[in-house]
Amino acid sequence: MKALQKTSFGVIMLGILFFQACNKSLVVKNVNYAQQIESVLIPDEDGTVTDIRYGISYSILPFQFEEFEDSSSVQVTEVRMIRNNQGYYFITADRFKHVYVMAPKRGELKLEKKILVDEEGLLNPAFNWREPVVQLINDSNKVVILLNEKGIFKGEVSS
Amino acid sequence: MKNYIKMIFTLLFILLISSTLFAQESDYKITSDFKTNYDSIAIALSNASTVKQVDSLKQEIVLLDDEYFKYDELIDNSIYPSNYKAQIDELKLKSSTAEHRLLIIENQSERLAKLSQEVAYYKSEIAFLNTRADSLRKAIARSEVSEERLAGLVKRYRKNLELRDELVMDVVDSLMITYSGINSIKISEISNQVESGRITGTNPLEMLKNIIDENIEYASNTNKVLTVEDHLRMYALQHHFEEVWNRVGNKMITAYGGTENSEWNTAFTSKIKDWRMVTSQKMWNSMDKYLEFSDVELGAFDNNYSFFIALDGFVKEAQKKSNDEIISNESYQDYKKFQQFWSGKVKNEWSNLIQNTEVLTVAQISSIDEQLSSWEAEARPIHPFLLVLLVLTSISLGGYILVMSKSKKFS
Repeated sequence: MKALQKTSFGVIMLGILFFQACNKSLVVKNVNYAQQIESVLIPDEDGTVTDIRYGISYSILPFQFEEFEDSSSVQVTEVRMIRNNQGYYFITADRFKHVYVMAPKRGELKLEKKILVDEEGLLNPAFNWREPVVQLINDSNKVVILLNEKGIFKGEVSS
Repeated sequence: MKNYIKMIFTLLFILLISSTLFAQESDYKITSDFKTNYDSIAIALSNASTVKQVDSLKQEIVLLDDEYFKYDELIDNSIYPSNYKAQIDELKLKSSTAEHRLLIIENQSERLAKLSQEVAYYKSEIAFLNTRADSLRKAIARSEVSEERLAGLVKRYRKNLELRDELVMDVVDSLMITYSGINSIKISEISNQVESGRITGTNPLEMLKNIIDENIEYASNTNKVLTVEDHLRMYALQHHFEEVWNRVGNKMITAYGGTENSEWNTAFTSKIKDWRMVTSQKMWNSMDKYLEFSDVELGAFDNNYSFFIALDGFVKEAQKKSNDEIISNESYQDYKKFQQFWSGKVKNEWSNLIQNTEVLTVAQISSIDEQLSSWEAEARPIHPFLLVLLVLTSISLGGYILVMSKSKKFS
């Protein structure tokens, strides 16, 4: 009886180990998603922007609604987008007051952080990637702001 | 004092910071500006029309490289899968190619200018010879001069025509040298230069059209005093012109025809055909008359093929006739007349003209040669001495047989 119990225990343990081995997914650490140069995207008549090089397409209208509370027609002429090393997308446009940090999800972009950068609205904004932050250049006040996925970056960065 | 120094340092610091801030530029803008400058130089290189322009663009490439070399990694990222070095190298290559191309064109323009000068010279010379030949032709036709002077005039008239044909041949050869080596890209460049007025002067198409017109007129009005050789030379000139035109005509029309390419093409096709018909008709007529005068009666002919058929038929028929005659001398006289025409004229005096114009091919000449050898063997009459010898031998043989038969009878 005891021998039977021992055998059953051994079989169960082996089964658990086998199940765990099958269930374990492959994970690659330290992936750098950083985009070296920002993408400048032109919305089509439906407000969709497409980045052929980096393979992403989405509508700019939700962002436009957030900024101007109007998505009845496309008012954005040019979308500025860059991706940091963590894989977050930084999106903004001319006259936007915010930079939107978006996390890529399955079939969607989810807002991670909405960063207020200019109360008056940006003028000819541009992103640069300066490891480990995103640099935002704003023509309206000639100010350079450093950003990460958490908000405005306060530390030192060698440009 | 200390406060002043502190203030100055603070101001300097602020200036330094603000200049750093102001100096911040969008990476995207840097790469876009590079692409714009690159494209503008590349387009300018494609459109450059002088070596001087290319030299200045080469300088711009150096400046572009100086300005953007420090952003090479950025540009590499932006223009992936190409890269900065490849782009700059490509511009340098384009500039070298453009420079080479323009040097050829500029050289081509010089050659065209030279040809135009030659054409102008030929034109005046031909006009002079035409006038002289005209007056000589009229004087000969009127027979206003003594026989001795007439012979001199005829000689000069023929010499003038010969010189004229040589000049036209020179023009045709110059065209051949100028245009045969040019490819279609260069032809279209010449065409653009002609249309934009960068190449001026006599339009070679006009000049060639005049040459054809004059030759048609001259061939139509030829005098009786002209020989078969003169007509063969005119025929050879037309043949050579047509040959060269078939090789360079399209290129010349593309280069100089402007918007009337098809009109030029039709005009040249029709004029060359007329010229061919006139010279061919005159040449075959003169050949026919010469043979008639030489008592060589060939069948009718009016082209290369029928001429050979007539010659071949004549020799075959004559050979057959000789075969039927044993003692007569007549067919051998025919052979000698034909042989004189064949060896003296066709294979000697007219040899080059006949072969160049393909009036007879080498194979056709060889075929007639072979038949002539057989004809001679058949036609050569038996020598009178041999005939006497034969008769004497026959009599002797007859006498001998008679004596032998009589002696057998008696025994």
